[in-house]
Amino acid sequence: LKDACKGLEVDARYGQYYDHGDGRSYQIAGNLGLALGSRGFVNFSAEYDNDGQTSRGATRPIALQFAAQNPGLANKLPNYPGPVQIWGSSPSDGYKLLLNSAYEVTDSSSLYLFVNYAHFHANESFNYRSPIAGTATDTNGAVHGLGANGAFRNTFYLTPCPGGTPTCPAGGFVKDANTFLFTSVYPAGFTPRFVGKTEELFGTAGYKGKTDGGFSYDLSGSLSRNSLDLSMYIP
Amino acid sequence: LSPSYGPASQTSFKFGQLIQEEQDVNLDLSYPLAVSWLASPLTISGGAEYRREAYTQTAGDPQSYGAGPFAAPQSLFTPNGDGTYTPAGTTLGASPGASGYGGTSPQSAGPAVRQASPATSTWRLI
Repeated sequence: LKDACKGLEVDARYGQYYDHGDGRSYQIAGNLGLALGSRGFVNFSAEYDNDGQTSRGATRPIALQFAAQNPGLANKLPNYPGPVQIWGSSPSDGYKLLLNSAYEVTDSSSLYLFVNYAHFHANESFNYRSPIAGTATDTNGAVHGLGANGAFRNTFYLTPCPGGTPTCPAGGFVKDANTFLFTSVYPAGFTPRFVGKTEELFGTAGYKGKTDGGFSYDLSGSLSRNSLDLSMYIP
Repeated sequence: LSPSYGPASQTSFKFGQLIQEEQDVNLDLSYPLAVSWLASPLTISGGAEYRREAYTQTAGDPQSYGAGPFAAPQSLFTPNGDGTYTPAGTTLGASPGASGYGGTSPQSAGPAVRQASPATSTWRLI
């Protein structure tokens, strides 16, 4: 733990992958020490990180087949003209705050306080959901089925049976052209992004010391809270 | 997508939060006891701790875990043109929950709590 009672220090870092021109990354960190009279200190640290997306994969075979079969819809493929599903490091950003402090109440006893808060956010490319099924042959010559996503197998009929028609009872639907398919929204499939946010809070406060007789004591209380918030969206 | 909601499907979902909370109170005591026939003092230490842990799951968006109106197969009827209909089979039911990841339902959301207060005692010769 940093316990300087004076001085300010700031560090900054910036970088990106030279060969791909992606993965831009930067970090800024600072540390500040302050004296509390002549008997104590408050030391404060902060850091912010931001890392960009990298992409090192090839597109999926079913996406190549989709583009070959539907050249007019190829530009609707997710991340077009890049891979439909991105393999690489996921973009993330976060910050951390840290406070460390102590104060000598007497020559042989002190109060201390430590608080830490961190927030982190990451966003990763999830699996590509293909609207078509196909097959692919692996390097051993074995053929594998590439399935369509379940969301695309359904045709939703939207005209309910008219009332008072015994041959088309309530709860039934008319088999007509008034239908909905998810391909009307995502004709070339979709690739959700999966988002995780974590928040961490930790604090300890205590009083410790030693009596003249050599008896040592340390009484402290801690609180912590850690949360993970998951979500998904289609960009 | 949450396929069983059909055209009303959302395109983004919150799955709910997972939260761990801990509270801790700790007391450590130690005393070096001089013993005439020992070269160094005998350190006697003891302590007590109270600890409470809680784990909570909060519910996600209803569409992230729920079964929508198209989860059950639809019964279809073809119009004959004279006001009557002919049964035309059923559709496949669509999958409940968001595709690829299900959120936390209110039934499985909630807290779980654990408390403990151990006491310690150590005798140490340094």
